[in-house]
Parts: sequence; structure tokens; C-alpha cells
Amino acid sequence: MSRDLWQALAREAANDPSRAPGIAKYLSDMMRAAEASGGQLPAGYVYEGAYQFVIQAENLAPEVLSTPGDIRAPITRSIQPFIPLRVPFDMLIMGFGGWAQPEAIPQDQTDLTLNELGAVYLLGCAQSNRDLFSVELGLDGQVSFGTNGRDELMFPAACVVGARDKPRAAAWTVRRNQIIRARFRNITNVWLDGLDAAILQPVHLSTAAIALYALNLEAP
Amino acid sequence: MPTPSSLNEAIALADRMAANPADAVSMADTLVSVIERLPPPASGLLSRPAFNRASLWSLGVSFENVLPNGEAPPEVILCQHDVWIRGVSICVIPLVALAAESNLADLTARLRLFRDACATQGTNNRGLVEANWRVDSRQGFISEGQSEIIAPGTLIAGDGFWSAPLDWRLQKDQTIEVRLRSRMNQFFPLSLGTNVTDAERVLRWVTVVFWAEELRQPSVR
Repeated sequence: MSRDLWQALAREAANDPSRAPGIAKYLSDMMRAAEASGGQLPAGYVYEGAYQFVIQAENLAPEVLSTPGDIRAPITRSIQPFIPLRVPFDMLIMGFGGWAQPEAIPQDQTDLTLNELGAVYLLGCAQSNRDLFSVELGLDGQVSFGTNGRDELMFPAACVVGARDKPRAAAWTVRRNQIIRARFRNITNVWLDGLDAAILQPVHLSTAAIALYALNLEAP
Repeated sequence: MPTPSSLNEAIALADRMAANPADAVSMADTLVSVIERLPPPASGLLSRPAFNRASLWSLGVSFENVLPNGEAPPEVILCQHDVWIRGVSICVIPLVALAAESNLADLTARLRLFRDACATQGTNNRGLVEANWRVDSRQGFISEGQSEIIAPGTLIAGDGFWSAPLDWRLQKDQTIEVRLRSRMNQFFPLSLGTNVTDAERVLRWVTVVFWAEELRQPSVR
């Protein structure tokens, strides 16, 4: 783990002289720990994401599904607004995880049946329901990190983020007051495209969230 | 070839920079160089497990309504920057459309079928497609030794939870061409006859996403 992280931090120090002494101290501690452990992965707080930030959307309804080539409502975009997270301190984001909670809607204002609930809980084939929502990450209103090189695209969270057990690894340094933003789209209706609503009502997501696991770079 | 540095050398330099802000400024580039020249850890490959790999960009393509016969038109990713491709994941969403007379029990049975099939097809339904990719039209990255093949998604891609590790450095304006074919005729074999229609073999949405790190700078400003 050490070298990639150390290189990223050393470049940060070279690019920002104001933070160089603090980063140098941090690097010295980490390299000492690596040396003491004989080069194996050391245990301890310096390698754990001590801070966990969550960007969360609630009560997401499915959006209109268009036919392929219909540019009015492509499956890779969303009408939902971005949800911002203001970075509270200089930090190193070490991983991303995601999770969603589907919500079953009963038919005709009657009580929800266990069969309806069971059908909703069977939706999806990815851990943490990450194939029930798509996600797009951005920074400072200018960059979106999902793309095919020409257009900004949203992809299923099952391809973009990991889960808490195994986050998607990152070595992303962001600065105090930058705005990380995320946008979510409920894609349960992609699974259920063409299904008669009399069989199952459209599935909402009561919660769709991504978590960022980070280290505070300003801490001594 | 640059002379390897040592961990002691890097620690001494970092200590000096931490103690003296003036040295921190003047020696920062030297520290970068020293760390880059550190030898790999004694434990070798096992010291760099998959979670070590950092990525930021999701470079991907989207295929909709993939039919069970024939190959979907290839989609192309254009690299906007010099990038380091670190991994690839596939997500497949099948169409669980049912006949008009179906009911909730039928829907549940269909959903359970796909959920249970994860044990054989892999998570994210990766086994429902075959894929390969070419870089700048160069073949061979998915190959049987002599010629390009198109291989099951379960074998060549991850599911986000973990990623099939890659280690490609691509330059700006290079392209990755992704080819995709449905395996639904194997998952729902034709011997099912009228029990499964062609409409039920359509894959509603398939995404292939490469995780990439921008090489110009390790962090985003």
C-alpha cells in the first residue's frame, strides 16, 4: 500500500509549499511504521479511513425510461440535482462505498403484502443494492468523473463504487471548502421495464448513498 | 537506470523537511524523487494487494436492449487525458418483462432465478454477457493465444465490489473499443421452447466501466 500513497502525498507537498512541512511529518511517521513492521502492511490509524462522509439521497422515484437513441431522457443521465458535500478539512479520500434501500409501495392504498416486499428485496444482483441506482461524482461544479471521453455519463453504482467491506480504492486529495457532489438515479425501473404496474408498483429508493472514507491531512 | 534509494534516506529527508519549513519547500521535489526510487518491499507482489490501487475516473460505455443474437454495435471510449487504467467492472440488468397474464408470484420466481444465478453467473449478472476490448483497434487483450476472442464477463471483469485489476497506461486521444455479446441464449437455452420468449432474453442495460487514474496529477484541485 505504502508507495502509491507516499508518492501521492510527496507530490502534494511539492505542489503546495504551505503544506509541505505537515505532509513531510505525516510521511515520516508512515515510513517509520513501515520500517518497524519489516515492510509488511502496518496496522494502526494511519492506514484506516478515520473519517467517513456520506452523501445521501432520499425518496428517489424512478425516472422516465426512454427508448435507445431518445436524447430527451437517456438512461445515462438524471433529472435529479447534485447533492453537495463541502470538504471540512484537507483530506485524503481512500475509498468509496455505496448502498441503497428499496421501498415497496402497496397496491391501491391497501396494506403492503409480504409477497410484494419479497419481490422488491429480490431486485438486483449486486452487494448492497448497488445495481439499483446509478451515481455520478463531481468536484466544484466543473468536473464529472463518469464519462466515455465525450459526454458525462452516469453508471450503475455497482460499477462505480464498492461497498463498506471492500471500498473502491482511491488516493484523492481534496482541500478544505472544495465541494464534492454526487447525483443519484433510481434504476429499479430498468429491471422492471415493461412490467404491468398491477403486478408491482414502481419501486422507490428510500435511501441511496455513497460513503467516502478519508484521512484528515490537517491532523498532526 | 536511476540509483535505488532507501527507506532510511526517505525518512531522514522527511524529518528534515518537517523540522524546517525552508527545507520543506526546497527539498520537496527531492523527496518525490527519493520515494519514486524506493525499491519494492521485500514481500514483493503480495505487498501490493488490489486495494492499494487508486483510481478516480470511471471511463465507461453503455449498451441498451442487447438482443440475444448477434453482437451489439461496439462502443468506444476516448481518453481525454493520459490515464492509468486500474480495473474494469461490468453490470448487467436483464429484462424481467413477463407475459400479460403473469402475476406477482411469477415475477418473484423470475427475480429469484436471477438472484440465485449469481452463484454461477457471478455478481452483477456478469455471466450474461461476453466482451472484449481493443486499444486503438489493436487486438489481443482478450485472446486464446493466436486470435482475439470474446470471453464471458465473469472471467474478465469485476463487479465494483472488487475490480479485475488492469495496469494500462494510455495516452490522450487513445481509444478503448468495447465489444459485447449477449449470453442469454445460453442462460435461457432454446430448449426452453415457449416457456421463455425472445423478449425475455433481451438485456435491458449493460455497462462496462474502466477505473482510471489521471496521470498528469495525482489529486484534483
